[in-house]
Amino acid sequence: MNTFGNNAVKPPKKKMSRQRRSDMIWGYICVAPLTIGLLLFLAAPLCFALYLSLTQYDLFNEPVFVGFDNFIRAFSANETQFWPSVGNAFVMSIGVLLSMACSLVLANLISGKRKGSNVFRMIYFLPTICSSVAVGIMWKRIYDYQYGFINNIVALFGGDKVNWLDAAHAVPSIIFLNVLFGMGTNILLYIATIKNVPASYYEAAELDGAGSLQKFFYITLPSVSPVSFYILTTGLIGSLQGFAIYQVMTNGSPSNTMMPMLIIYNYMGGNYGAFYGYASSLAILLGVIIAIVTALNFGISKKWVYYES
Amino acid sequence: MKLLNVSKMRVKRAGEIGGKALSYFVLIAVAFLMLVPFAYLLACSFKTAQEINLSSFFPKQWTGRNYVAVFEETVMLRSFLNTFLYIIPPVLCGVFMSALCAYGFARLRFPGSQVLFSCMMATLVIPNIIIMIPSYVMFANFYKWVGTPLPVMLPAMFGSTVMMFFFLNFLRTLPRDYEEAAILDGMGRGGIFVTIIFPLMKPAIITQILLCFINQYNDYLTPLLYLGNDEQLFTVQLAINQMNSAYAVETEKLLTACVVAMVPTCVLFLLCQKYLTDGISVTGLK
Repeated sequence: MNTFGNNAVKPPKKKMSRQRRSDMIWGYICVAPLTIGLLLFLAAPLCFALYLSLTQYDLFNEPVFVGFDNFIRAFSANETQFWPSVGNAFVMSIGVLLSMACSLVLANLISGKRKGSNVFRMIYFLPTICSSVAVGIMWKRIYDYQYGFINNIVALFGGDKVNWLDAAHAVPSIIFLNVLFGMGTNILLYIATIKNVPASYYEAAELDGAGSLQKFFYITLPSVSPVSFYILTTGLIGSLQGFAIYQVMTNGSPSNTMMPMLIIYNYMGGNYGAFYGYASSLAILLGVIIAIVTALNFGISKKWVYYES
Repeated sequence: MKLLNVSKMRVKRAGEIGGKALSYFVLIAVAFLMLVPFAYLLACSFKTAQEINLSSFFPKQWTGRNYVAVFEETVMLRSFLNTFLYIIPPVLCGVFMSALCAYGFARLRFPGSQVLFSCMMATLVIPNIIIMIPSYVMFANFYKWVGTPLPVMLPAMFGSTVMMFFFLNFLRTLPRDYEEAAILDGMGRGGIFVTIIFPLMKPAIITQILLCFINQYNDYLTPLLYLGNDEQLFTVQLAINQMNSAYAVETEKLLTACVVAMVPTCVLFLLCQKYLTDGISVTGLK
């Protein structure tokens, strides 16, 4: 990928032109801040994470090197919470797929419209820019057993109130809100892509007698597959690291809403004590899981993502 | 024969109209589902403490007391000032640094630029979660900055790779004519960036400032980790979370605080819709 100025042509040894020299110096000046920032706040912590995961550390006493004990403990029977929580995170990730499917349908409906498409786009995007904390509090109230909005309606029609955030209902409840409130960005991405599909494709299909469903499945779906892949990949990465919504709404009880991030947060001087070494090893395990999921995604994508050219 | 054709066309036309009606129905139903929670929240914020737990949607007696109470009795006002203080300098500085870096990669030749660029793109793969704990330990023990806004502000000052990439793509679409003319006139690269490139990048800059602002305003985990328990340092997100986890939750005030907390990003969105939607179509939010 040789997209910007490269140095294939070496400058003659004797003397660089003044312009060239000043360009070089300015080049380093331009990239220096971001490079320094990444070194200080990304590369350094990354290396430190590996060391930290091999120690026992409570922030006040010197870190004690314990080898792979933290990882052994994470895989032992003593760790009863972490792996189920990873499973929970995967269950919650169903929301990513649902949200993707719904956004595509909605984007397809919107892009066929002349009237009102802007209004719909705006409304669908509104939840995305609101903070997770405020949204979480809002939905906690809506799902509330005694006074919640949904149970008010249920009671109005004479039904029995449902505890929407108990062990049996919490997962679908949270997935529903994640899907409904997580579509904004996806819809925008899909609309932008659908707009770029050449109209001639659809016209040709119409001449061949294709209906709107056929047009959707045979033209739109493959055309937006690169975007679907992007949404799926970033969505899964985000979903496996979900935190704010879960902390605000259930804080891990019932146990099938316990997320890996909540556990890690609790080991950082929170409810489970100060075990920074152990927290770091759990974080690395979660990071590795995310990396594996992403790699799998890329591997499978070759089967269903169509790139033009 | 002709008659048959006409009736066939009528059926087809009826189907089209039906399909259109159905699609509008779906769109409106989903929009309704999304707006009802907000309407409910807004309606609740005007209820009195006596009415808040009654089942009616709208308050019987509208009151603005909650809004006064939120600003007078809680740290909300202070937290608003804090939030803007914490995020405006990093947003502006970070956007500038990212644009500068993109300019370096797009227009200037220097040894190692390809390698550096590849390394930067590779950092996008690292999940945040791995960085979180060691960063916390570093800020807590080496720099002793926990309990100050510095860990929230400083890392963002240097810009981000995602933003840099966004600007790089934008710069590739800009013609080089102006710069070349300026070079012939003997203008230095720094001057060119500030007086020519930066103004030309205005739409991209505004988009990124908005996105960055919204992301940082809504960020919860970073301030939660670093700002400690001092109420006077709280950001808006921490302030409403504190009201939520209080021992005796005053629901009407909590919900009012949520409305207030949502206002800044919503206003920004309504005012700058075009910049935002265009930007998000390219990079995505969060």
